[in-house]
Amino acid sequence: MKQILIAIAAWTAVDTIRADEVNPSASIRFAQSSTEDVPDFQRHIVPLFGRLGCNSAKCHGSFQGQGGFRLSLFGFDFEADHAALISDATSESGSRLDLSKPAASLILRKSTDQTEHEGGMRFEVGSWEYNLLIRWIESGARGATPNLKPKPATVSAVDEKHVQLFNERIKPLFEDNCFECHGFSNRKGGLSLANHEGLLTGGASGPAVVAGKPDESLLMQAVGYSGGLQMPPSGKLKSEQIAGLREWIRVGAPWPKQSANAPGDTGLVLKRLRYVPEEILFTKAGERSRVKVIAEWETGEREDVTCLARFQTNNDAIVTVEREGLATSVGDGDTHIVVFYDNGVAAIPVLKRYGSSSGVEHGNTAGQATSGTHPIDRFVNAKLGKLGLVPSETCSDAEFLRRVSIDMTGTLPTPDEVTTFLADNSDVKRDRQVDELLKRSTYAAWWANKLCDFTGCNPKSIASLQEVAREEGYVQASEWYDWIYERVQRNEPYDKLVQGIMLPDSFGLGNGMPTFWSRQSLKEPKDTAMSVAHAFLGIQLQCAECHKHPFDQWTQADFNDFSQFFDSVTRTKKRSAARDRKDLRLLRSQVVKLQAGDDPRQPIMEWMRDPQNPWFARAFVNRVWAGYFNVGIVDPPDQFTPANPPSNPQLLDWLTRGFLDSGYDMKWLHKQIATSDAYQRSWKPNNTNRNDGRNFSRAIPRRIPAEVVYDAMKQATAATDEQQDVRTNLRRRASGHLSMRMAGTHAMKVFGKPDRSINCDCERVNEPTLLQAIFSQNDPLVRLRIADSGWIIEIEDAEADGTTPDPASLIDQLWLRTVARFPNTDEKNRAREQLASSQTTAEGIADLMWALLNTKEFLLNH
Amino acid sequence: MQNFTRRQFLQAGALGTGFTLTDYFRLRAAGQNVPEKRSAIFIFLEGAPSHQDTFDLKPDAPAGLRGEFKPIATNASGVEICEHMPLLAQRADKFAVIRGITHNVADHGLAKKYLLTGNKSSQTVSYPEYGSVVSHEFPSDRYLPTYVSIDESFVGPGYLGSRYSALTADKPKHGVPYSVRGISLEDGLTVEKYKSQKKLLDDLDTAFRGFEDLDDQVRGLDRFAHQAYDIISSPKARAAFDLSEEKAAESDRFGKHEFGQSLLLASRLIEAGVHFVGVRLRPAEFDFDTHSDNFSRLRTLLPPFDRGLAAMLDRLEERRLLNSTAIMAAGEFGRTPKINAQGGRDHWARAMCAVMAGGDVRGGQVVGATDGTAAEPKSVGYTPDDLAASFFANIGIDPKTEFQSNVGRPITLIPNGSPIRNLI
Repeated sequence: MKQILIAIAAWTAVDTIRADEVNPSASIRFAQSSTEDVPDFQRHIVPLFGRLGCNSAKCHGSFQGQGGFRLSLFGFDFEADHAALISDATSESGSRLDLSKPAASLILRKSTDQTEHEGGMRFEVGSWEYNLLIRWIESGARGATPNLKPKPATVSAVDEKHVQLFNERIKPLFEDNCFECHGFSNRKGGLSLANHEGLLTGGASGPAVVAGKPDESLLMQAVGYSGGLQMPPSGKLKSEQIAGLREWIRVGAPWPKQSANAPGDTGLVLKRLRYVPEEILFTKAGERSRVKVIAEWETGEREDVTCLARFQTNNDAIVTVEREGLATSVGDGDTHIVVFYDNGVAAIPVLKRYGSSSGVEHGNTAGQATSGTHPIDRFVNAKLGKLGLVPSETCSDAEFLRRVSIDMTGTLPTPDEVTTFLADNSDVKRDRQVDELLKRSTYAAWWANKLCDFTGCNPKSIASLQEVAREEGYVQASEWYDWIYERVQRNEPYDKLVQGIMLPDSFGLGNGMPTFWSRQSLKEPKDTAMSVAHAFLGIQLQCAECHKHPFDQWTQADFNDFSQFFDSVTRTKKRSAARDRKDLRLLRSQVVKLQAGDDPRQPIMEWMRDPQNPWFARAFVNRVWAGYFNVGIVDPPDQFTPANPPSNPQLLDWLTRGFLDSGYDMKWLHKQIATSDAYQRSWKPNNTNRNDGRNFSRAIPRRIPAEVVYDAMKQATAATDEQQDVRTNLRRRASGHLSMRMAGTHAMKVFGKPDRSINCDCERVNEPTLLQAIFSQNDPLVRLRIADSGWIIEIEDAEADGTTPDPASLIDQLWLRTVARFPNTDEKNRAREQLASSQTTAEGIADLMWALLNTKEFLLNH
Repeated sequence: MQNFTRRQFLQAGALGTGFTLTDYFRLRAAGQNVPEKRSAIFIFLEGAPSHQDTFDLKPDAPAGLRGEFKPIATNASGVEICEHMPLLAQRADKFAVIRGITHNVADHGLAKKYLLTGNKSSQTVSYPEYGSVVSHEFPSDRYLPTYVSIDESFVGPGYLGSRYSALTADKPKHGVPYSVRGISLEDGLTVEKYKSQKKLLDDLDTAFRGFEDLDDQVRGLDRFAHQAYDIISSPKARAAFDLSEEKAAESDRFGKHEFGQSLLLASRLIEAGVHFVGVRLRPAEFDFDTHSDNFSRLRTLLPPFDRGLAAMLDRLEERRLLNSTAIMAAGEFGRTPKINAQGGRDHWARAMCAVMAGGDVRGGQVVGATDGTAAEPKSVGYTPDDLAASFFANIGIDPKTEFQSNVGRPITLIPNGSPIRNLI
């Protein structure tokens, strides 16, 4: 733990290093062809390929390679890359590397375009890049320094000969003849031959194989066509194939692990990446600044790697960056330049004050901006001051009430609530309202719904693949929701809530929530690993499944190790126990020693809830923040990577620290956020902050989420005596129990409710679309909502009795029910005009209701 | 950077399309090579029709594998199809049959995702269906949706984002008045009444007036509200969906079955200017998933398919639209060579077939082949990826187009397939 914190901190820390302690840059050392210097494969060659774009997905980093030459994507599989370079080129005359005549090497002739190269010229003959490569070839074209440290103990070793038998004969045989029906996703008769577990567990007719005993193995009977079961159904296998299977079962049906050797494990380890300057402050567009990058290896060596690093801007409307770290200011705002070298990633803050280009400096805002009293506001305002942003004014009471009711409880306030709140003259009424809302069942319901999003509560993936089992999926998904709801309701500490999911057995029977693990979608340990990392750490590991993560330090080795923790969990779906003793690295923080019988989730849970964990508490704090501000402090909230730093690190640190100190008290967190000035700002911009979307200088209007649209329309049209039930009866609410039932329905799809089927917060879509507009204007569901409105029927009935209610109060009601405020004079006049031109009051009210449900003010939370 | 590209992408796309008509003409005017894009119709034969009983017959297969149907000659030499599709047989010069398509996903749900997107389904990315891609690549029309799905589409817009979703239209039934959810004005609502409601809305929707360009969300709501109104109130969209405008003889030409009526609606929509129509042929009584009674079921299912598709090809040709419309019909996999005890055929992904027509498709030919029992492709075969790549190429969209996805990395449209040689 400690190590990882230090490592991450080190990548952003800078101190001045004396020039004589640093090896000069390769562009200087290899400027002359006469140099005697020897480049290193890991330190120079692979990074150079990265910077030149050779190992990008479009070129040789593609999984098919390009022109018969394949490099590992983003270059961290040194062994494979070296093998690819030293192997013969198949498509061309000549060798990729010609040790006797280095200049004749294909890699040099291609990249200088002396021989036709689809990628064109990458550098010129005689350039430092050219000299560097030629020196590497001249000096023997050696690969990366091998790792001589003993590898951690791995799972039971499989005889090399048996590995060959399996890989060359058995695996292809299964793939060609059996996977059609018994592969990864298809389990006819309950049997899957996709992995060892499936083979040994077998299907409806029993285990497919008894290791060591071919004659007792069902598989041999089936392929022998000797009994009732004849497999494959399309025809008997060839006799040599059957003999191969028999031999394989006789030797114990060994199934080797696929990734015995983790790529990227070399003897040379990057300790930190340093950069100068610490921060770039621009004052006018067109201004330039140069970033210098220094790699520091565990050996103590340091080298200027500016010419070998890759650079990227996080926002090219603010800054662009070229090769060798040359940054050019483009516009106002703040962002980062990201540097990649080896598996190091560093982000350098770049900032230009708003209004500084136009010369219209908006006065000295610093004094005003740092004056906040709430700790959140001190951090937010400090950043605003630095950027020259003046925060928007405080929003009105009506706006606040509607906003906080939606964000905190997923619910519109009732007309009575609005009236009471507006009439309240207390200075502390907003704080009181926050306290009161946090006690409501709708708070627990809305945030249980969100936690169901994060954890992937999807009825379809819980149910088995058969359609008949769908209902079971809904039942279990509802139990999942209820389980979380109860805990949010009684404000159980967040770490304890997660423990109940991570270790469902640890609370005694029935108190944990096992369904997270039994989802159909978690077929392989890696699926489970990605799901845990996404749900509880806010990190996306999936890139590292196939190649080095392009924006993070994760390599395939990290991914494989983390996945192995879940091997036994995926196998048993619920209870979990390691089969063998093994040492596994936990995302570069510590090595966990597992004994046979240990539940491998236990050490992960302990590691996560440790206050030093860099992600667990932060990820949740940030997601809750994003629920109130439309953007996270880290945004997207599930992309915690060094390349995507927080917009306000001090703020995230403070909130995380406070959340930990409170004992993972979720309500503490919600209260802090909702009572800050930053949260209570108007959406209306001033001259400075119109373009600010990430520093919380104003509220960002955002479309209300799918469930809230549905519930709000229901509530706005409900009969007077129904209003309370519509708001509080969770069985009737899309953010309550209907959440699971309604997943995948037309209305929910149109408004972007997530399926919860992939590991990405991006699954919930709040952007407006044409179909939404068609829906809210003319969908039968909306038209019926109004036609069947209990409230409008009340008015109709009253009219029939000859007692039409007072139009003024009806008009007030319309606005209060939909946009949670009283109408202004213009609006009142327009409404009266509409009523006057309608045949009945009820009809006029219906038209007005339709119009109000379609206003931006209704559809947006603002 | 993933952070920014995503937002940048949203900004570029929030107004309905990433690539506008103006962009298109600007690029063309500048002499850039903008490929001619075509409209397209995808007919999804849900349930997976038996390939060896439709377009890949094996009359010489051994008993127990051999189907009951006979192949018949067509108007294209060397092309033979099932006897229960005589109308298509007379028009074989207009379409190409693709045999020997192969994959290994024999589960309906996952195979549908595969065939409807050209990408094997994944835990980490949801891929867009064909129509959503077209919707993303075409400039949108003010009065019409770009992409209509007849019967609900199965997969959705995936990583492209929900604004590229299909407008869903129910399946029309012969002789029954037809309406479209959200588009048709129902329960006596007149255009005049709707217009007056919209006027009222415009008068009241003032809170963000002057701030329409403030943020993506405000801008999007504003733009789409107007576009929705244009579509719902315009005669153009209503006429496109109004099957009652068809003469009885024309309606009958397509057949009195929902297959034919769906294909008639698809033709009308293409004629009106909709760019992509997805048709999900999935009758309520039973679909192509013939685990039992394969032959009697196909005797019921094939004639309406034959009539509907033949009529659609004729009509599009009569209206000179066949050259500008890419058409594909396929299921999610094929069916077992072996006929089971219930007279059915089970799931079989190792061989299947598809039909393509329109655009640059070279009709009157068979591309690819399977072995003597229709169990495996001869030689390598094609994949659903290749099929998708061919369809996109025929539409005028490069299958290697790279999209900025919502998961923070660029994704190639069809990374693993290439257009089938000699097909186009």
